[in-house]
Amino acid sequence: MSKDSKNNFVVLKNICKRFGQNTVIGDLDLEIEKGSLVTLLGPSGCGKTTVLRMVAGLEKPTSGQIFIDGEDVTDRSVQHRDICMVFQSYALFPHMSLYGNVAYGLKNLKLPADEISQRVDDALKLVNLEGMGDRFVDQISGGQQQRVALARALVLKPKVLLFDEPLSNLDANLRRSMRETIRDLQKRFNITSLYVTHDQAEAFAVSDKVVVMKDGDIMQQGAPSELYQVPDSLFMANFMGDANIFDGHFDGETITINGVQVKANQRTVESKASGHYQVGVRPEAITLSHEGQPEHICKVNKVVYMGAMYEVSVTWGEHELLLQINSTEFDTDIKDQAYLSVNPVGVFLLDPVVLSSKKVQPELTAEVA
Amino acid sequence: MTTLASAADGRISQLSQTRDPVFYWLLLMIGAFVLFPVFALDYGLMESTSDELYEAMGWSSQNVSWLWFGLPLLLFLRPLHAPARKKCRDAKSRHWFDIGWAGFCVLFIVISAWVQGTGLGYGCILLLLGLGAIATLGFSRLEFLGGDIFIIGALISIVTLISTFIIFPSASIFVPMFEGDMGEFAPWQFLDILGRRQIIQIIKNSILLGTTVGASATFFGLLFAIYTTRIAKRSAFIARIFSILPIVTPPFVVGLGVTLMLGRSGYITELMVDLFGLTKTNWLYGFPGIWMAQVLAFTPMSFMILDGAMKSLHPSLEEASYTLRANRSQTFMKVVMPLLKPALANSFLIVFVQSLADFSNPLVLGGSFDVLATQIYFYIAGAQLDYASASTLGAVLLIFSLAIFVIQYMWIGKRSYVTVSGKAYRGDVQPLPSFVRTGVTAFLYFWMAFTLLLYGSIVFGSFTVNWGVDYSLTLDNYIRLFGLGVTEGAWPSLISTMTYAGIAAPITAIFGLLIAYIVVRQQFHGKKVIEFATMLCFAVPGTVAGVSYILAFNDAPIYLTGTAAIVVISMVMRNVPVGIRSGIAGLGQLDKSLDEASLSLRASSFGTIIHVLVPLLRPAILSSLVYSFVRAMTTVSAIIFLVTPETRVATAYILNRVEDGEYGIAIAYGSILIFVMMAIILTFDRLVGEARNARTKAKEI
Repeated sequence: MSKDSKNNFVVLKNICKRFGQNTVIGDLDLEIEKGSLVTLLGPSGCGKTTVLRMVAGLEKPTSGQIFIDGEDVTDRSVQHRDICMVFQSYALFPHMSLYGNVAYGLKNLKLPADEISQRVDDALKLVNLEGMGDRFVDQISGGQQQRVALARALVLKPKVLLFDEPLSNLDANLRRSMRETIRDLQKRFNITSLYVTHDQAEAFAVSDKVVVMKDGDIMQQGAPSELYQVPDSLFMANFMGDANIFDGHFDGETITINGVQVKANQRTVESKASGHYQVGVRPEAITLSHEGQPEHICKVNKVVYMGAMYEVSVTWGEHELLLQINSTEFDTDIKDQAYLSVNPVGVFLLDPVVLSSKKVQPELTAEVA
Repeated sequence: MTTLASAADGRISQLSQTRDPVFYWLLLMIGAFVLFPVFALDYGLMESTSDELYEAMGWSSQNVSWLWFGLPLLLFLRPLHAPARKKCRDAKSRHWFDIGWAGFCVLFIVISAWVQGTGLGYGCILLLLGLGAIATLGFSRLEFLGGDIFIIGALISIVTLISTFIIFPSASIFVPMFEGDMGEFAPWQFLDILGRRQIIQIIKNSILLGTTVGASATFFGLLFAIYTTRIAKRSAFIARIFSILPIVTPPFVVGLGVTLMLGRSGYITELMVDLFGLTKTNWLYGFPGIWMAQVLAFTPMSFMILDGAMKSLHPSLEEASYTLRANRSQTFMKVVMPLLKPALANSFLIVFVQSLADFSNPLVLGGSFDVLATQIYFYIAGAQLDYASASTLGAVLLIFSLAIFVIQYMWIGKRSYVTVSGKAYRGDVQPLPSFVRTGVTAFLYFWMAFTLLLYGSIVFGSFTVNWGVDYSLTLDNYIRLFGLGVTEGAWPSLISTMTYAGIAAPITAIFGLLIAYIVVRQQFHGKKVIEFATMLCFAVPGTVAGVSYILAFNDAPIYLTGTAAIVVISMVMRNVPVGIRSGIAGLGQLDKSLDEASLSLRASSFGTIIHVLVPLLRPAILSSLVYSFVRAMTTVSAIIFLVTPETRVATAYILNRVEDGEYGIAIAYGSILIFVMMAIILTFDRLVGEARNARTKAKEI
């Protein structure tokens, strides 16, 4: 334990949370490395915010332990955990100026006045709000409010910084620049952070590690590219984007689906033994052309223009497939019939299949479309 | 991990090298024993002779108070330093012992004082405070409610105050019911009392009155709600009048006003006699008069409930009904009425309870039509002092009110499709048929005219020599009230009213806000019980509260009858629901994440209340201050049992004038009170309005 805790700055052990009869978190373990940003990603109601609030000390776990920097903080109240939080609603105090908001925590720590004003000015500068300390919350824009909330949390130099869907109240353009700001500052100060969102793009853009949750359980955790390229369950394959699911065979080097051989990518070769598997193929990993082998032939059912790409649905053998083809690469002459080819990067193996040569459950493929 | 943990341990133990605060509280108890009288003084601290003071000191003789103050000192046997956070867990039994011992000491004090028949004095307040503090520390160390001392302390105080001043008195009203003349146990006495013909008639009267007034006020309230939501474009004015008038109208005034108009020598009666040759009768005194006065007094209340309910009905519901081929009356009967049902039931029940509890109107207009509230008063203040009967009738009244309260809580509380505080929709609704519009509007104008006439006659009447006999104008009534120097006439009662209300209002506001905060923002087991108990304050009728206070606090261990303290306490407890309601409404509009942000920025929960919640809740706090002040000034039913000639308040003074038949003076005083309270409320409104304007201006910069 002693060795792990060096790296794992925040540790949740066997956390269970019940509200009355309702179990929100079953039995959850989670570790956050020092200086990294970990995101809890999941559909609403999956318990991600509850986990964040338990780390903050705003909810108490029914059982289990929480460690921050090696100390058991499970019974410690929010004031004594050395955390700060950026709230979804920002929770800026409307009766205080921006300066007052940022200085609030420092005043509670009873720091000397000149140190407070120095640190507040620095913090406001950090988020490009220098000189605006006199303004009130209702006099600034949403993006600025978000940055005040960030400054108010950073100024205390907490051990752990918590983000509760911080960008959900901003419009799309602002969201992109704010998530970069957050990531930059987090890296610059090397602050261990836990971030909650339901937006996959946001999670991928800011995180070192993404933890996907469903119904209070962790489904999979890892770097963004790992989660997308090697999802380890059907849920993950579909949650992380669309996937076409086949029954296939892996011989250690190549994967055979529908009689077509695809070279397995590096990650697959390293991690899976040969055998029969459920095979997932990302829609963007399949392209269409006018010529190819007979086993690659497919029937084109529908072509939908989406702007950046075309969504094409084809029938290949007995499979109904969804394809996403970059608009600049799609040959609009393609009509009723085409030949498809599969890029190995977008192919991954899921659960092993017991050979009874049954078809893939139809409702799963339906889910893809 | 182990190294880190021990390092952390070291840091914490450094922090905790402070003396355990339990020692200070124990020292406070010793100080209290030495310096303050531990027994109640019959004539108060200022009026007692030094001999009496000496006798009231615990150390002046061998008595039980040595035990009261001695037992807690057992807690001196403890480690010198406060336990470290980490070690708290290991010392769990220690903390449980602290709490248990403190609780035992409190029980011992209360029971032994009761058995011995000695009243608790000032020293005991400090003693109990110290024991409460020790229990608080214990709970905080057991990490109850996150170990927050402030919250735990507040919770313990709330529970103590509510059980002492609401639950204990309410329970003690049942005691004389079972006590015979000689104080012997008489279990079946109350059946005899309830079997008396007169009493059965009184209970019948009360129920008849309550149901008719409840139904009428609800019907009229619905008419006005229809007017403000469906007919008038600018209806805020009416709602405002309806919300202010009942608050600023002192008791007796409406009853007296109705007498001035319709009584035997009222001017409308005279007019009828002249025009139609009717004969003068006393038809007003009895059921019709009380009904009229109570409907006038309580319709605003039911209007407020129904107006809120109608405003939260989404117009699209009606529109949907029309598109589904329903006509107007079908829509009204099948869509609107069912949705309003909870609000209608609520209004009926509230008015019913108010009517049962109303004391002033039946007293003025009752004639020989006796009701529960007045009869209880006559049993205690009248020639025939009869605690057993008063207690029995009080119990009946209390049980009625509680039953209705429980019905409301269980039934309407759950089935409210239409929330009163919900969003107001004022979309374009289908206009009503014109005959309904004219009918409702005409009725509203009639009502307004009648009200205007009523209040006009009150003011005018206060300037006449003798209403109905001599209409010549005079200032006599006012001179007799206020022209004879500050020690004569109305001055002493006005000054004491203002003083008591002035003391009670801030306590009410703070206490109410605290309860609201605990109920809205904290999560703990038994919260429902606290919520229920505080809402009980709504349910206890004033008359019952008054009787129960004299029964409960006239004897050991708590001896308060005749003091100003009991008047103030009763004002606080009667009005605390006002504070709670405005606190809950105010907190409901503040996002919980503001509290959480403040806590995560290292503020304590007390700091959060002071620096974040109080500034943001200022309008709510101010309004509960003003309204509890004004309500404290007009309260009558509970107060009349508690005042003495020295602590007489304005309403009690008016009551005495009414009893003496000096109606002119009574309405003169009433008019003055109306103007004073009106001025207070309007000034307050302007202040809040200005504050709001200043804020919007600041935003625009």
